[in-house]
Amino acid sequence: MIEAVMRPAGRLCGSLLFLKLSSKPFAWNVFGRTEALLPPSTFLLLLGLSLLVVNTVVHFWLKETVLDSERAEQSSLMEVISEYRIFFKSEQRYCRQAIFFLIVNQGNRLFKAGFQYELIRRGFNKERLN
Amino acid sequence: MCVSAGITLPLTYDVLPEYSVLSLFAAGTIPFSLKFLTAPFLERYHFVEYGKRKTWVVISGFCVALILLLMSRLTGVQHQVHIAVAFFFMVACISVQGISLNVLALK
Repeated sequence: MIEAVMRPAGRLCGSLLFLKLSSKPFAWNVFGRTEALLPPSTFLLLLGLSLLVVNTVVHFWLKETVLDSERAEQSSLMEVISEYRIFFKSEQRYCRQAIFFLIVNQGNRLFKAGFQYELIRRGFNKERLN
Repeated sequence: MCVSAGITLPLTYDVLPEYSVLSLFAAGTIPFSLKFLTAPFLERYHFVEYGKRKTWVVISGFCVALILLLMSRLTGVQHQVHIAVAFFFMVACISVQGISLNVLALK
């Protein structure tokens, strides 16, 4: 549930933040600057660096407890792969769940770019969005 | 991490990319759909002493950061295909981290 909300919300916020910061009209209207606040390359660089810092903190700060059962002997790779058969049994809910996720997440966009292409072809661009 | 996934497509809004490039972007989200295939491998391969889930959280996090740093060098129109390919790998890393974080939260 949390992921279902957070993923689209994160993509939306990321897109809007990026579009605003890299927009010249936005910089002119709000700050009176003739250049964008952050060029795309600088934005990506800063985001990458901030993620490096966050992950370094996680590396040192996050302590995961290891259960004794997790220290037990690991199953082989073939045993892991053999578990996939559950996704092909139509009477199992895992099969229906896998089909559902494939449809919801991918839809028909795999072979057709869809609305994004049509939007841009009809004149949609970054500045119009801003 | 999802913010990272959201910023790549607007990179293409300046000009009309080729149809194939946009399809590449659409195909770049495939790893999100295939999480159920990835999860058993994450369950099998990890460093127990470092942390079963932490292993993949940290590794995928660093990979996303490095891909973003690489993409900061690829913002030109002539790099659209490279951006789409980098987007695919970034989404793969984000999906791996998503799986690990979900399990960590449930635990």
